[in-house]
Amino acid sequence: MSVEHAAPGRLMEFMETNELNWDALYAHQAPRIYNYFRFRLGSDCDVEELTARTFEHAWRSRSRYRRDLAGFSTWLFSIAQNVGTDHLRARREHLPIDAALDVRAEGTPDQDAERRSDLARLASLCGMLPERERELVALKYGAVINNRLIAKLTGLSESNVGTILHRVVQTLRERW
Amino acid sequence: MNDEFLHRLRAEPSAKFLATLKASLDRQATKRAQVRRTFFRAAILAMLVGGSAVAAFVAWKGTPPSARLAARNPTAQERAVHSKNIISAPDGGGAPKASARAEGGAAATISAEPPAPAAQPSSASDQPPALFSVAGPTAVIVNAQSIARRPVEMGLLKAPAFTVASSTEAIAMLCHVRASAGPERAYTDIAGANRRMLPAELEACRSRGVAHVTELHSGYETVVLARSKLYGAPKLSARDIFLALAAAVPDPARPWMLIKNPYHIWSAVDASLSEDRIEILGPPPSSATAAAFRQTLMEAGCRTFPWLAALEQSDPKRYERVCRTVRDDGVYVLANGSLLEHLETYPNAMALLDFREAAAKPDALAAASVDGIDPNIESINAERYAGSRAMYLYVNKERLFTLAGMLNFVNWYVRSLESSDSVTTLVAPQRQADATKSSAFQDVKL
Repeated sequence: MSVEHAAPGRLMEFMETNELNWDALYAHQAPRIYNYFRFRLGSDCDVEELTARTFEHAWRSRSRYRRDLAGFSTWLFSIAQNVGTDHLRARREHLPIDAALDVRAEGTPDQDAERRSDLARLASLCGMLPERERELVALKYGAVINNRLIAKLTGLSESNVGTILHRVVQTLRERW
Repeated sequence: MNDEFLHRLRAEPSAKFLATLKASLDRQATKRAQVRRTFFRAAILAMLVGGSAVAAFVAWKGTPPSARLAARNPTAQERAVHSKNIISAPDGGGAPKASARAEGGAAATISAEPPAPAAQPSSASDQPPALFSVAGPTAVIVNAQSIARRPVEMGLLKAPAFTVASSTEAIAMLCHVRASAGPERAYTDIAGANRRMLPAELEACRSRGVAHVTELHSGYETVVLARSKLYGAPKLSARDIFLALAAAVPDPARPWMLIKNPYHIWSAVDASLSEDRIEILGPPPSSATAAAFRQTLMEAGCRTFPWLAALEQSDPKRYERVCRTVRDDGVYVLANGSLLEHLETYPNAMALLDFREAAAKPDALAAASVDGIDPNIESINAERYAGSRAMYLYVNKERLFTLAGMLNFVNWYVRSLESSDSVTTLVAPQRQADATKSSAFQDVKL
């Protein structure tokens, strides 16, 4: 049974019992967080580390949070967003300024992408998108969360999220 | 939208990674539990050791020097006499110094530089010019302190003694009614209240020699329910708020009966509201904000049920219990340090806040309108917003001219109300500023 198919049943279960099953939550959320980071970073490198860091943050302060699966998802993904942002910021900061001189255009993005895996290809294409749109793609397709929750996490309206994602997916598909 | 190519990019994390991380999290939880247990044990041990040390010190100090020199234990009678002297007769012959006490209705002196004076008019002339005292609910006291702070620092005023007490206690202290204020209560020269003085209280004042009392309208204590600005301002009614937060509510099937509050989502309270879970973060029930909430928004909602409103006359105790008791089943939770983050993370969560607290963060918080009225300076001053209540100061006028600095303080207070709507912790009563000015030193008429 895939995670996506299990989610509605679990949601109902948690809503009814009003008691969080942390083991089930972990099993349910870990793959989503993991894939969120894969999409966000565009590679498998550091993904496990960031997933672990997110859960450690969450587990440390879990007693402070309300027993509600939907709320838990929002909370957990906001932690993941912060962990991801910190990681990306640190990675940028550690890049020496001279590194910029080594960046050369090796053919078109399409030619370059052919040499990489699908994920790397996505990363390459997403690299041309603004930060906010990359985040939306990671939340939608990596974490598989709905537009409503994405809207809460990003501060955009739900319809705005839908519109932006539609446009981004069209762009990505054209270049895929 | 053809996005299958994106869905196909997902991958399951390795089972080994998931298992390792889970084991690490479990270890973390166990370790934290151990740390907590160790901490509590250490804290209890420290308290025992500290308590013993304090007890030993107090016992040593309570022993007369001669007795200590003679290395003998004082008799129980000696100890009792000595203790009594310490409590009831401070040096200088002033009134007993009100000691700070925790919950339970006892007054707590906040600032007591020199000992508070005995406020008996008959004995005032025997004493040197003494400071005066102000007693009242927290909101009034904090407000008075904030108004007095600057002139005190500049040397223009002398700091009065501020004592936190309920409105009834403060008025009793003003009127020298020992029975209501408690046997060890000091008197006060200025009483704050979150309601107007009752005719019976004024009569009690007069019968005890406090013949001239002036009433000052000192502002509005206002509470709001707010959520993160990300999700917009909620639109609620006072009835919604009561049904969402009262411990007991009328049974929808038998509206003349009360049942334990069954509502956990807003749409159950009112079908036009969202299906979000009810979650209100707020201060401890003993706080001034929580008390104001119970007596404004909750009570206003309670009174929309005519039979509950009628209880105020027929069964006041039950009325108070029903209309002013907040549920304790986890829907109302104590706010912690990360309140704003929590509100941003949880669209359904709202916070109970003092109006000024919410107004200070206009970029982060959106306060709920109640019955179509937004909480703002205009609606509060117009007394249209349900989450607001007027606060009053009652001044023993005869003491104005006998106690050092009291007249200055009252003058300064009145001027502050006239000139500012933002420096105090209460919303200043703009609309009534002129009335306050003209009646500042007139006897109260109820």
